[in-house]
Amino acid sequence: MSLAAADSRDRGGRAQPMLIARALKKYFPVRGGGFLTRSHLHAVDDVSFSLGKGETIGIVGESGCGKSTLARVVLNLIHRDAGELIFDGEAVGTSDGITLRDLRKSAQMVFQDSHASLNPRLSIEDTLAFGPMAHGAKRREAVARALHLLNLVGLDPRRYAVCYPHELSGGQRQRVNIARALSLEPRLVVMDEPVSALDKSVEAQVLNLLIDLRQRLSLTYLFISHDLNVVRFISDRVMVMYLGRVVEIGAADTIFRRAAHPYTQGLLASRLAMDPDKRIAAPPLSGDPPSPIDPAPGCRFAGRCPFVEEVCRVVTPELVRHGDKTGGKADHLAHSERAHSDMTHSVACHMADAASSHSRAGNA
Amino acid sequence: MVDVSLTAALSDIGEHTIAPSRSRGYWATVRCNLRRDPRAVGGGLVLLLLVIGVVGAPLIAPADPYHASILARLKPIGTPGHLLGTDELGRDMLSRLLYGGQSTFLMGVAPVLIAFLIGGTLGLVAGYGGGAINMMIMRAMDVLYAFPSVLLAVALSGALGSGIGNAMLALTLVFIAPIARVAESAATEISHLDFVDAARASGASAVTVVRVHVLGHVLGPVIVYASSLSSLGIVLAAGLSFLGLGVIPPRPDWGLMLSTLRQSIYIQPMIAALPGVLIFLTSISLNMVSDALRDATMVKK
Amino acid sequence: MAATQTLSRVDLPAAPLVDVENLNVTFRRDGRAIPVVRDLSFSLDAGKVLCIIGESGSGKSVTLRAVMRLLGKSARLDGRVNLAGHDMLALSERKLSELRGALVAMIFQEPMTAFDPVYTIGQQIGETLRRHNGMGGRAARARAKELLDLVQIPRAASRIDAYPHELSGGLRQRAMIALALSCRPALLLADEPTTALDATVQIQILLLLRSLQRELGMAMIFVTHDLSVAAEIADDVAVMYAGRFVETGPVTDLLHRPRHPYTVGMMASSVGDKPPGAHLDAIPGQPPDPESILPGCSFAQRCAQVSDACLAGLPPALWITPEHAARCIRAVPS
Repeated sequence: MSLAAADSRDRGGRAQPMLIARALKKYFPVRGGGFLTRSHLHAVDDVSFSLGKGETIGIVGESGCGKSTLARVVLNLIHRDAGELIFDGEAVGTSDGITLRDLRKSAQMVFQDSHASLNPRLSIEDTLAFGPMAHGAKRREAVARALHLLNLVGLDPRRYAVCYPHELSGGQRQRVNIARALSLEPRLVVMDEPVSALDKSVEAQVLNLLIDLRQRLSLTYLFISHDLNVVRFISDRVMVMYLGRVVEIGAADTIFRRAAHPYTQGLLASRLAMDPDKRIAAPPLSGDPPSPIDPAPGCRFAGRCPFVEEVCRVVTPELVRHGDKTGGKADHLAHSERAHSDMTHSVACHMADAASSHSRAGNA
Repeated sequence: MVDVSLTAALSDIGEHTIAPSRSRGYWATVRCNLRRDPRAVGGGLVLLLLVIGVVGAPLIAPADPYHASILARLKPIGTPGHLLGTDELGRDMLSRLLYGGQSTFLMGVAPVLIAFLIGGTLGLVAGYGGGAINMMIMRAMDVLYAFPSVLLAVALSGALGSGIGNAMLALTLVFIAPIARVAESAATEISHLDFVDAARASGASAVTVVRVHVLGHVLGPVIVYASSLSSLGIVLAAGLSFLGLGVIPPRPDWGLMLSTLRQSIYIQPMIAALPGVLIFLTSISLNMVSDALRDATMVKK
Repeated sequence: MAATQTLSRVDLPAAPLVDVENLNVTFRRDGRAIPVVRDLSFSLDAGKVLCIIGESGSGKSVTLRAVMRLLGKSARLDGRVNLAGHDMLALSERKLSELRGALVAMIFQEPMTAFDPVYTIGQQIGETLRRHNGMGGRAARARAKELLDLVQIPRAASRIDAYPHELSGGLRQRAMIALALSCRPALLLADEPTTALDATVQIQILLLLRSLQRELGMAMIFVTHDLSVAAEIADDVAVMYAGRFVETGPVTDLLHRPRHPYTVGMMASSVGDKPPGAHLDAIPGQPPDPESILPGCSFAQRCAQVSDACLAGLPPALWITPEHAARCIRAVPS
């Protein structure tokens, strides 16, 4: 998790987090509801975190938790409705902050491999050359860069540069996705389910590649996945999302060994082992996640939580420091803005908040 | 059942159906498909002959299309000196047909080309822009779209007055809306795909993103649609002239000729049918080429 | 019951429910013949669960559809597929459609495509009941509600009138299972039904399938790419690669003591409990193209232990135990 060499583009210094997100909100209006009132899909609701340089945060959650929307909000591909984004000390999306152009060169995204992640009409080298050319590079230079990138991701440029996406396998396409993200030499790479669509034998290859690149190019990762094992493997810290809110955040090891939020515990217990002797007897969580449209007040997980009480349905829990017997909302964000990486384990659950009226308050 | 399971099987096989030789680009594949399609070849050939004849009228036409002769009225096909006979004013049919094609083609095809440019751009902007831009543009198109094309063409032409220019303007306006719709639908579909997001994420300007990534996918359906529209254009153009709203006599034009030769249908039915035959040939060739284009652009990956 | 080749079986209590021998499925495309399933043999007893594990291109989904003869005209099937005494490859289409649903049913990865969007799920389940069981309208509706309860859909009485798009992914999958089970088939074919589901829903569906399978005495062939899914529900496992079974056996034997380098490689390369950031033992290369299969072992090009003998001819199935076999010359230390 260290910076290999001083990065000339580094403005804020080692202590400055690469990315600070404060109270990000993104709601999508949906049809339905009344004539005058509008229904809203709460895709991202009050999400805050800080990402240190060279660090990897894994964002884990199931479908509908808002992690893909969060990825796009962080890169300013979707405009947030509220909240602040600060990239290496400069505000994003304001007139006096970092320009969009500079942001694009510094922060890029690897998309999930689908048939739509690469333009079927462009050859691989054209796809890779597009970014640099859009920033002013000449075609020859951009193509040379493209060939170098193909090498970097383990594809033979002589063979693959002139191919079209449909000629490549899923794993190869994903390597091209990664190469495309790196074509502008970003410092932060957001990855949205980069290995979910791949065969297991190929998944390992791509994970190896990502780890190798992280080390070689001193990259900072925001890794989004629904696969807990993969997230644990690649992340320093893990953030668990449920229906648009952060329910737990902390060091990867802590989350996996001592998860405090019932949802995280349920997720961890739902993992299948490769051992027929370790079969799961009963599903850890029942039911499906409720709709993110106009969610009811209180804890979003109340409907499925085995420890639910009255307070859970009325008061929305805030992130509190786990193990803090004094209770109250953790100022973990302010703390983490000072420290370059904050391994504080925080949970948004009334059981962890000693000041709440939950019967198990402070004992979680 | 056949294609579903084959596709399922092939997707089970995965993306391993690698072509033995280097893959062609999309447009190269389209060209290759067209070359092998008899509709494209046949229709294209007929159109080519028609266009050569029409464009080369000053060189090919045996006589002056305006030269009338009462004595030579309605001579039958095969009369020496008048290969296709003469019309009701004694003018040479062949020459009038060749020259007449010029105005028919102009009135029928030029509006499609102009509408292709204008409507295509509007649809592209609406599709990529989305939201308010989309709403403004497409609702405006809806107003035009609400009228049946023939009715709208006649009404506009009537309001503007007769003459080739006005007829072309009327037809252009009629065609903008449907083309815009096709372009918008294609552009909207493409704009939501991940690779467009990736292109935007690279910091390229909207124009660049559209030019490199979106345009190629939109051109296909729009060209196919425009080519089918041009066959309609020919018929509408002839129709407008038939109604007296297009070409002003004595200028030759297929539709106008149909109208003026109507009374002679009992005397020289073959001659009276000739302009109609040519309209039919043009229209059907354009249709065939359009069908072939539609199949050629559907390159299955 | 393990996959057998040419060995005769001694003293079986009853004939197996599914008996497949030398199944070959070849697709015709652009004048080329593409072998997708090659010389596959296995059998399955009633009430047992077989998991076929394979990646893209292995031919696992095609195998499943071949059992029910759901493949189109471009597929040529050779060999023998025997289902409860019926020779599936010889039957007429009409007889087949009587058996489909009643004797054997299938559930798919994407429930949205299995349902007709313009009818409610109650109507669609009812239609199957009326067709195969000859039930009247009211009886069919009552039975449909029972089925929805059986698959643990909450508030079944109101959900029976829901349209497919109104249900969440997990509920749709359950509804599809209800549809498949409506006529109490003896065999259920499942084509990656949980791959597209979230982890918490996946475990619910897997456990539901396991309990239903036991309760109804149904046999199941479950296709997946995930070894841990097999660990969770299988009795027997068959690992498929490039159209052939490369390792077969009871789930405990196979997963605790895998013998084929591909199986070993798959298990070694999974993220599982590996230390963070460590280098994974990935299997190099990618699955082969069915159109360009070389003679000899199909896995040879990716195998760390390849030798000349591997390329010479197809490795025979070697038996590690009477029920556990692997197609590798190194499977049994000699």
